[in-house]
Amino acid sequence: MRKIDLIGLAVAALVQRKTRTALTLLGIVVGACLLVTSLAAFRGVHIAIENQFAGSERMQRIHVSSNYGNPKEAAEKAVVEGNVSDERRERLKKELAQRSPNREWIPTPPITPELLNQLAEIEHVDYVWPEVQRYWQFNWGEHEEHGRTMAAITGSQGVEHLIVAGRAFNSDDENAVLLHEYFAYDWGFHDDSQVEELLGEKIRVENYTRHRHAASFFDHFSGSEFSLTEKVLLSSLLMQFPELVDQLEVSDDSRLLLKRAFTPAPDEDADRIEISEEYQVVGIFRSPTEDERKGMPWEWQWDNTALVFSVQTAIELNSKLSGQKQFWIDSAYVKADANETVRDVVDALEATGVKTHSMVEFLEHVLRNLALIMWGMTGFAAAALLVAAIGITNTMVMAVLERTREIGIMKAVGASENQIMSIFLIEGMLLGLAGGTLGVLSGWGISLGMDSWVRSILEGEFHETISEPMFVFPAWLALSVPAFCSIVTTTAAFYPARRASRIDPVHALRHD
Amino acid sequence: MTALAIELLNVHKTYGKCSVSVPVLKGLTAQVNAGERIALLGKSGSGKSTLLNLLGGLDRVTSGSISVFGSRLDELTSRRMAEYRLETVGIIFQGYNLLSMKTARENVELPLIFGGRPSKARRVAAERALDAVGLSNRLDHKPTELSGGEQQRVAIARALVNEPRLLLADEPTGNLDSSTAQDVMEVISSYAREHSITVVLVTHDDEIAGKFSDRILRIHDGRFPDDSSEAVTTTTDAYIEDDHS
Repeated sequence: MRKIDLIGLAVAALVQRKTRTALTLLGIVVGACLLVTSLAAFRGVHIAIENQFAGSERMQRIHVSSNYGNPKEAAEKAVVEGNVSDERRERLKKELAQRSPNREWIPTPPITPELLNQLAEIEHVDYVWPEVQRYWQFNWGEHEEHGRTMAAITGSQGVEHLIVAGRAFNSDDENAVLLHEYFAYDWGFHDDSQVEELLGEKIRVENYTRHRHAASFFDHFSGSEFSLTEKVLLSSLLMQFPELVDQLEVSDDSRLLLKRAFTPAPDEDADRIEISEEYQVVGIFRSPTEDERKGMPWEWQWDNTALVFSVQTAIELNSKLSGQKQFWIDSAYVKADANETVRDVVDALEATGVKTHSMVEFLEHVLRNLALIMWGMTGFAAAALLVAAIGITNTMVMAVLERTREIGIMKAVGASENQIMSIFLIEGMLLGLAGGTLGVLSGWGISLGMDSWVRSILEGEFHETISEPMFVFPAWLALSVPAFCSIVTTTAAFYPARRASRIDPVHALRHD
Repeated sequence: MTALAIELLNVHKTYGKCSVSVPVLKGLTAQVNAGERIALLGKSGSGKSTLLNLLGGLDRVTSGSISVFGSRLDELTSRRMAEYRLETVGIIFQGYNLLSMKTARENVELPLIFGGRPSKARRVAAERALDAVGLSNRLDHKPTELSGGEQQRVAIARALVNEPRLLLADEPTGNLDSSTAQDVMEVISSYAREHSITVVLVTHDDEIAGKFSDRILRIHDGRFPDDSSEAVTTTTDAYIEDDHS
């Protein structure tokens, strides 16, 4: 018997029972649609996310920081006194490790300039950009300001592209400063041509001194703004006040109270050093644009940065604050030279003991979650298909009963068991193929409507504009889903097909 | 010497299992020559249709053997039995047994489909067979649109379309009026004569048996009685040998 005729008989049987075929198909269509939509969404979102990071330097940046203590070790070392149950002892140990004032905050390993040099030597490392930021008081003439200072590496990957006047640093240890254009404007350099006039000027950078703290009292008390010279004068007067109290005509109690109120407290930080350094302005910089910020470490912090130092200058300046204490850097960004080398660089960095965070890990995490969602949806789709398959088995068993006489006739005129079985198996296969194909088409149709919705969710998540389609239907998917459905439905048709093939023709021809 | 078409040797057929077994055929032995037209006469429940089912390869003997044109049916595999039904035998049923959703032509084409005949050849053969039974104007009619006689003619065309060597007819006129029955039997008889095919006709109509067969075989309670063989014409060289001889 020719295959085309087998298919013809199967098609004819399905067409003869239009309603039942349509209802059976519906179940498969729903299952296939769910399956194809979840796979297409997974594929589309996966590609979109990968592309989103592939073109971004963020992918290659690895954040490096120290480990601060080991909570597990600390909990083990903690000693709990008194007669307590084992369970409570374990709980208290954890609490003691967390809350103890003696908790160790020593970084392991501390990020020192030496360690930075060591990290820079790692293969495939493009640059190491340490985070040396602090709020400093700074002034130019009578202009007194307060703002964030950052460190910048040299070269095109640093802040060169942000320079609006002058230049960036020539070397990592250049003893100079870059000033944000806002201050130029605020200090009266309004015209574009005037901005350059600030180049070569000296800016004094200071930490807060006792005098300044005292002077700030007058700011708040009077609501007036005082110049730097006036503040120094006022603070020196404030310092003399305890001695002047004796000359006031007040009660002894009041005198004691005033003396206590205006006598400075002993300096809590004995090692604290008062710093006042001058740096020459070599360049005026602007804040990065949205897009530029994405390409820079500490993206958002550039928005309110006032001064930028070279790396070594920033380290030297900030290390002075620590006095006799050991100075360490909070963190650094290490950039790998390519996306493909990020994993190797991460491994090499972690081998030095530092803690790392990279977009690769984040991306892996996101994609892992995405895969979980996809498998969840695929599970639902598989369940829907399974239900549809059981429906097919049930429907076809009923069909075999209904068609017993027809099967008997076919056998009487010469049909073999295999031929009868093939007809039913082909019916099952055709249901799967048609249902799977309609499911793919339905999924594709649904995806057209859902694309913008999923895109808006993803764009909200990544704060980026995404151009890639959220549902991707590669040829293998469009072909394999109907193929998979037909395998499922053919399998579901096996039992009824076998039952049909074994029908006794004598019994069948008596059947009505 | 005419070739042997059918040989029954001590054929038993019992239905049911050990505890409730119903013996239907109880040791039938007979021979039918090629080209002979046999009428199988007997009361209801005598085993006529059971014997026809065995000859048609629709059922198997419980014991004994049936040979048709030299092939032992009891030894055929399921697949060979299907081939036998397809190539050697054509069966006409009392109830026509046509597929109600298919046209006359499609019903006749059915055996050809299972025989692997290409569609064009099938169409030609089916139309020729329907023409032979006088239904060339009813090709695309479904069974529900045909009279009983026409339906039986379609069934005859389907039985003959594969040019079988053995035609089995199980009370083909049972559902027809006498006039239509005569017409239907004429069709069968003339085709059989023309193509020299062996015919086994099951009937309980003595007139039809006498008119359209060379010999009559009477079956009673699953056996051929001693006087079961009755020659209808003298021209045939067929003979019957019952199980007592």
